[in-house]
Amino acid sequence: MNKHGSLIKVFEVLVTIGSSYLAINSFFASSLYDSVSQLINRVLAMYNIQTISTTDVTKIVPLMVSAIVFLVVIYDYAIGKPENMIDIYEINLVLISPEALSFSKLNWMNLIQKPQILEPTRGPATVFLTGVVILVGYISLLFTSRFKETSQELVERGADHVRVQEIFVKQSVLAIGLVFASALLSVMVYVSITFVCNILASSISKISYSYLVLGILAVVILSVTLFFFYNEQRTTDLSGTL
Amino acid sequence: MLTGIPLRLSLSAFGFILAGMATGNMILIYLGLIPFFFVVISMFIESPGALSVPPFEESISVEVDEDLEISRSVAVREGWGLVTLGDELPPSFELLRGNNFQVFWKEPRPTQIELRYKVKCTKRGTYQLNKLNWEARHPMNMTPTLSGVFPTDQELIVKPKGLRIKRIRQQKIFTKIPMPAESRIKIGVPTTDFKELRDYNWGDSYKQINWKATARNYRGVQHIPTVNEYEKEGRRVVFVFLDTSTSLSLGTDLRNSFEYAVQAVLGLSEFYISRQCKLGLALYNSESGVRDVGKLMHLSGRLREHDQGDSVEVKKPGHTGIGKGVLLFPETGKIQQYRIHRMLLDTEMASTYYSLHEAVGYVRGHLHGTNPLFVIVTRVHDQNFDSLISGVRELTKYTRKAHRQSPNIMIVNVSGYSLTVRKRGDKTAAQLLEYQENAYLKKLRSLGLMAVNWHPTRQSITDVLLAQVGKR
Repeated sequence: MNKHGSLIKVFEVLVTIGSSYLAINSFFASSLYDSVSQLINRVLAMYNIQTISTTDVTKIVPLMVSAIVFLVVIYDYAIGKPENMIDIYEINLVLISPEALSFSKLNWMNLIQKPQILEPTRGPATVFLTGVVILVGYISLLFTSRFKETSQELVERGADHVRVQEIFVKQSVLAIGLVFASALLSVMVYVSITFVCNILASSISKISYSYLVLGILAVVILSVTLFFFYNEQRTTDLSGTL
Repeated sequence: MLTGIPLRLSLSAFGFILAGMATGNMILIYLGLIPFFFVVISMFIESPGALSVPPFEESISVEVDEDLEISRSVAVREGWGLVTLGDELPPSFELLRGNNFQVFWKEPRPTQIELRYKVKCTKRGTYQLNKLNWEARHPMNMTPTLSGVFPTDQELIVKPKGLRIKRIRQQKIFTKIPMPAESRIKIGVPTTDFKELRDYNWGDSYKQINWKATARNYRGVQHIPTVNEYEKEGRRVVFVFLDTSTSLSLGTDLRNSFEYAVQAVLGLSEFYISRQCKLGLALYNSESGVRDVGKLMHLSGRLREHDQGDSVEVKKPGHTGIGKGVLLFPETGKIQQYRIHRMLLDTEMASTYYSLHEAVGYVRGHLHGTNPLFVIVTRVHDQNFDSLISGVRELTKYTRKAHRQSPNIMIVNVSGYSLTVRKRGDKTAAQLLEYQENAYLKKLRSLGLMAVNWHPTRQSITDVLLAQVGKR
């Protein structure tokens, strides 16, 4: 493997470990975990289980969970198929969900009169950046694993291994570049939304409908646009010239 | 058409955005924008397209075992991504350098990509390089792979190896290679049989000048006129009989006695034609006693039809034709050499089921009064020895020999046992069988025939012929 190939490998490892670490960190920093650990403590105290002190439980559980998560992530990364990359992403997404959901304006925990289960413990920017790293990692790994499959297929068909490796690097660099560009755009939206809100607030506040109605309308328009886009693509290619 | 990737990412994006809207969570909406932006940007990139190729050379001609460099240049004007090019090669070709399937990375600017590789053509024949396959892939696999074919329609002719002997005119050197009895005739009265076009020489009659050909080939004031050359009377005749029996299949598919026998025939035909002899060629089958006619007809039917010239389709009474290209009547000149090349190019084992005796019967009309030299190229072994003797007896009817002079017949034995040596012990077995073979050749020599033994793994046919040269 050449220098660039090694750099891609390093990037994959860093992004896998980094996103998993941030996800675990987010989970243990969440109010949900706090509520769960308190619940465990109470259960242990209720049954007078003396073998493990309540302090130790709060230390051991995160370590055990972290170890299990890391083992699963490393296993999935080692297998390296696109499906395994989706597994990593799903695990990380589950771990980040409590903290991300704590910023919801609609707190579902009010239904059971326990709003403290989902309460923000860290700033929104931290949670958002954690999510960005996880998604950047997911999309990058999904594409590099697909490119590896393509490279394998080309080598099996007889293409020169060195050249295939070079092309894999170029493809991966392009994919990673596009992912970072997308993440940057998202961050820009995140940063600029306050100013945009201020500008639009005066005109939007006059509309008497709920923001949910507007949001659903936006989603419907987006869905219809995408449907037509995909449909157009299909018709174009069926009668394609190539 | 799109692949599953953009759909999957779009669904992820929608999942985030909808969840964010349902819960009033802006972070989820911002996160959903990442896969959404990624899909949108990726969809702006087009797959490589607008591929074009310059016209290919119609025909390529090489000799057996010659290296051939094939280059295919393709212009890709649009798009960004992977392009693969693949040439289909006949199985008997050996890849020496490069690869006939290759992948290229196309940058956004128009690019010229080149598939280049080197092959060794290991088996004689006419091959068709019909198509160049291409594929174009989106760099992010967002759209399905596009594929197509460029029709190349290229003919690749792999000729058997010729003979590389130069004539040395030295009085003290003589050769034991027999020549036809009439070979002493150097000049003769020209007939009306056209031989070939050649440059004008001092002494040629003006009537011989072919003005049309001269005008066509005109290369300036220094140009020498072109004249018609006609066959001379009393031309000496050589008739070559090539055994196509499966007993010559000793060795591998690519290196077997039959391939070397073809090489020997070609070499000898060049030798005699260059010495102004009329040369005829007939195929026969020394295993004709085993007449699996159906199988042989099937095999012969697979022979490709080609430009026959004067080659003839021989029919056996009671049977349909056995396929074209088993007989060439005696002719001379470059045209005949070309015909022999074409015929040998497509000749396979079991091309005919006629014995030597029967084959002689078919050509006897062309042998009467010519006193030809007969050359039989075969592999002598116990099963075909009797039929060979029978054929030789038939041939002697057509040779006029002086008192106590041996018949003008040469037998070239293509020994194939050494071609089968694979492992330890095989060599000893091959040597033992060669002793037996030598015994048969000795018997043939005792009948007054000239028997030449050729071991293709140890010497070339040129070496065999040069071995017949001695000093007075």
